[in-house]
Amino acid sequence: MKSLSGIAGTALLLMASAMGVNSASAQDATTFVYADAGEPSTIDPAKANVNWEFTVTRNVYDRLVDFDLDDPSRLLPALATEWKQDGKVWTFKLRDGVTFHDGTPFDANDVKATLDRLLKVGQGQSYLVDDIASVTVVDPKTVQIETKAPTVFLASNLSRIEMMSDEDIAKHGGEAGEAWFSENANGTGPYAFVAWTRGTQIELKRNDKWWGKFPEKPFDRVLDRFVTDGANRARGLEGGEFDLANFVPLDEALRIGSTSGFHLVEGNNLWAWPAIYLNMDIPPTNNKDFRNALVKAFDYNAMVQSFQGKAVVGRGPIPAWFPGSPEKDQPEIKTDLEAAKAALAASGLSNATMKCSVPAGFPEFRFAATILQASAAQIGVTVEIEELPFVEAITAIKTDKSNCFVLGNANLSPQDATKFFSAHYLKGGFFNSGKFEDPALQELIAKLPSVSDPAERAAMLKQASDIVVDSHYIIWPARPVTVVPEPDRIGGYRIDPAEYINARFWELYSK
Amino acid sequence: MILSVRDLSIGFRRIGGDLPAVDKISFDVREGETFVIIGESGSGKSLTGMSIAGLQPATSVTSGSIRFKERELLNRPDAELRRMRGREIGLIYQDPLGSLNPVWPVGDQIAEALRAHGLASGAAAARRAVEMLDRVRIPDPARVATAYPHEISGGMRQRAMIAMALIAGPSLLIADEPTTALDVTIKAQMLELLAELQREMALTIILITHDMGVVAEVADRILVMYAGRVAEIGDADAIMRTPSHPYTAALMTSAMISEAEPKQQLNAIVGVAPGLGSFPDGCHFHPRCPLAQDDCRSFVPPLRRLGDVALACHHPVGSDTALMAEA
Amino acid sequence: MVNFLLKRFAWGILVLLLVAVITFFLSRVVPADPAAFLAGQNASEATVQKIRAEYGLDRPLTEQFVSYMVGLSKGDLGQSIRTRRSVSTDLAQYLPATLELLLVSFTIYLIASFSLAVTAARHPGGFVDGAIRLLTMVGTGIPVFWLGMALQFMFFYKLHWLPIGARFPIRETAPPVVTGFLIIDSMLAGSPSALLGTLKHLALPALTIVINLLAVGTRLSRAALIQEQSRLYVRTARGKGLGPRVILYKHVLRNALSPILTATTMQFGYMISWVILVEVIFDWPGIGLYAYQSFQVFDYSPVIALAIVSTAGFVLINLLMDILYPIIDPRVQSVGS
Repeated sequence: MKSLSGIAGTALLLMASAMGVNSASAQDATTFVYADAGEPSTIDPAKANVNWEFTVTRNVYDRLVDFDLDDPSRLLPALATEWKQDGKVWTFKLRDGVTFHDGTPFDANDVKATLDRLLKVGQGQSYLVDDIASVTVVDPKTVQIETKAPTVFLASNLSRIEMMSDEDIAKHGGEAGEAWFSENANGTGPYAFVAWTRGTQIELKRNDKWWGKFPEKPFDRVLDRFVTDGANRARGLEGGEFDLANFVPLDEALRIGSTSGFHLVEGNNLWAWPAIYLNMDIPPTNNKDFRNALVKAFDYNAMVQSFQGKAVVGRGPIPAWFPGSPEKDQPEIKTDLEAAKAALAASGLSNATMKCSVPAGFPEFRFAATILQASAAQIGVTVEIEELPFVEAITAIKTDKSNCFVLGNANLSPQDATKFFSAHYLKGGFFNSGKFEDPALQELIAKLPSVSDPAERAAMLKQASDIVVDSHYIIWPARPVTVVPEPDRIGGYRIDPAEYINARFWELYSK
Repeated sequence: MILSVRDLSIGFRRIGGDLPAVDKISFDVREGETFVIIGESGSGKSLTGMSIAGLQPATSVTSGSIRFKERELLNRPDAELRRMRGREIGLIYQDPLGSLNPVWPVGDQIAEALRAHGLASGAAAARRAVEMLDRVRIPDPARVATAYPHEISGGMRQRAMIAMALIAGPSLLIADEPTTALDVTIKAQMLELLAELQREMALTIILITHDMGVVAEVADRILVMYAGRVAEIGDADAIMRTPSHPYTAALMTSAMISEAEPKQQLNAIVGVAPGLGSFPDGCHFHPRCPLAQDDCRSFVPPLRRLGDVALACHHPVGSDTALMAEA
Repeated sequence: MVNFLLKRFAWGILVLLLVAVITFFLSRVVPADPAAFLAGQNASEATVQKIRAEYGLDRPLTEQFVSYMVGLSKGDLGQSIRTRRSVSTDLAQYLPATLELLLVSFTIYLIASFSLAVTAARHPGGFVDGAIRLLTMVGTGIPVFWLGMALQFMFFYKLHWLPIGARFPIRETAPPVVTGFLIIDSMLAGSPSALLGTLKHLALPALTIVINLLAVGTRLSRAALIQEQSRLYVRTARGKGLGPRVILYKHVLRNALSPILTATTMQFGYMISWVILVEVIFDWPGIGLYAYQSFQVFDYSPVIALAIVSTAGFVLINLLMDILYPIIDPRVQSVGS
């Protein structure tokens, strides 16, 4: 009995001492804790491609240009203070007095080394600038970039490309194996990389020599915490353990946002998510009227409801906020069973059966497919759903073993739609899983970057969008609004419409 | 009179009534004698022996009286009896291998008996354990003291048990079938050893056995038990010479038939001894008794004196048959 | 003895090899492409192909297998695609966290199950025994993940007593890494507050494991104790005049230790499998979480490594038991001596 009471005593003692320090009141005004949904595989800006990798790269490195989150058509100076396009040649004037975190100065050689390396590595966001032909250092503060063909979008796409140090690239890149960049970072950005505790967090500290302007009461220390479970991120945010969290499940986000001490920040998100791709090569989805019937039958309201009303139904691939978006001039896409039945009759198909491959692990995708199944059943079409690992699912439709595929669309460029169209709707695009082909669209997208008149570009974009919409290649179930619950003690969070979920730590402050 | 047992009953608690195992038995043990309790398994002899030291199973209920050196032992608190065990009453058991703790060296287990009563501690206790092993005629006692039970022979184990039982200097030794597990030569040596120790240490011994051979060799007085009751009790010589109870007689006969195989002896009697809870009415022995008559089936025979012995039998050997012959 | 241990060791190696072979092929049966994960959104087919080549994923299966086994024989556990580091480097970093959790849980479990079993076995069938049985039974029926989440909900979300996960208070600076065991590192740093922080973070994951182990462990230990209490040597011990305390602790316990150890070895096996779940629930940065996250992106080397490491742990524990048994029970002769 003695041993037992001993344990009980120790346990009580521990518990009492634990209660003494209330973990929920541990916030302090100088440290910011961000609950990230995953741990980076790499923090190399040339390879980073998921959200929790961008959390680090976006804050530690700077880009040549920035853009206004509230009006993406407006580009803002960053490491480059001015720029101009002359046909295929872009000239960027670089900011004076910028240094990397290790103290070395930033100049045109860094820009050249960064872009050369990025294109050589060919991963991450390199596709955004893969039309660059060469980079030339004119003088330490001037760099010229020549593209393969004239493109108006280069500057806006460079708003996603982080600038590294040429000394680092010489020392750790190429022959040296590049592994250093995976877990070290030396940028010019507002926050400097301090340490990466594997499995737990990455620590950043504020760069008080940064060229930009911090708000009052910025955070001196940022902890990017890896919290894989969505419920844990929500609870930790609500409990005060975290200051902000990404990918908080929608119902949790709405609930937390309505509790005292929290408010909701809402904003545009990416393009459309999810999108249902229909296979153009095999029956029954190779029949345009049949596809039209599916688009008309789809129950968009159900999808909007699944996002608890925090979603809009898209009218095409390009969201309204996008510069030059044709969405306001496009007709609404609505559920219309009569029209669907008529289209089905026109297709000449009856008792059709189709298979839909859904990448596993995304409840929204699965739900979209389930709605399609139920909607199709109303017009007598049978949809079989199979859930597969991502690569298998996309391979199934590419190899004509499936009629349909659900994908989350993304376009990281604030102004350039061509990269997205190429990957998703043009021949050979990796995500053009249903193998859509249209020569007119091909031509439009190829020509778009060379058109300097924004109005003319907008008209072309509408044509391009209409081609995709009219082909009924894609069903866009609903486009969710990004909802982020922010504690009242924090200010400055803004949603980047062209990212999954962003964290611009340099804009955040404590109240 | 070192020990005086009166109307001792031991039963086992069961739903629907206790099962009697020992039924109102009485006997006295005199100082310095060897008192043998003999009976088949299930007769209650071991239970009787163990209850003297308070070691009957926890599930049993006892009544009556056990007086040891004028002190009542029955139903005393265990903590009180504990002081007596080992110190005043030593015990040895039938199965020395099972009765020794397999994971401690023999010497340690012997010394423990001293330590338990605060008679010696540490090295002194260990030294006295070796001395005691020497006294029970174990060759190379220092080595045996450090050996584990499974490393020494059966005979050695029982000697070690004796050493353990006697090291704290008890005056009464209860030996529960101490020779059953041993072969004939070792058995003889063991009985000899007990006799010697009895002389040297002025021991009173209660020997519990089912082996008539053992009885013949060492008994001063005998208690024959059958199915929880006394069958016959008295002077060993008198009982061995002229057994009066048919059960005793049968035991004697079968002992002569199979002297070499003591285990066979009791089986030589026709039928089997009744198990717990299935004791017959009347005289418990009547179903197996060649002399049984109607009264035996209905009435419990009282214990009555007959010469140097007392016996519980309606028709003792040599009386009724003789009467019948006369008639 | 040495001979026997060598033999056992050889067996252990064989078992490990088998596990390596089996997990290697199992992992390749699932068709998935970790290279696509690395390449990311909007990557061209050429990029994906380049990454495949970089990690040798484009080579025939047998070739991959041979090169993996050759690497393994040199102690090379392969390369993690997700962390872009060698699995050995990762393991060295993640293993201490897991070991710390396992050792702390296991120690608490041993003490608790032992104390409970001893208390229960003192009066089998009594009130205390019944209460303990009821309490421990509650632990058996609850799945680990549910229990973990319930504890988290209770102690973090509702009561604010304990933190939500990870190994150390978020806003505090962890002591310098010396051993990787935060308890030891906190002590080396001479920081009681760091130690307290570490223990607070350990509390819930450890409690989850302990509660799940406790039910079976207590029951087995109790049964072993009760069985030993009915042995003849216990009567002998009483006959000597020994008190119940000495009898229990010196005589009964020592004898009950063998069956308890056997049960404990099995429990350790269960614990290894539960630790993955617990680490995922509590964001505990150990090898379980490491392997789980790797598995999610079809990065298999860490998963195979986890299988090998946990099997090695199990083999090691068994080896330890083989050494311990003869010490606990002199009747057990180590084979070969």
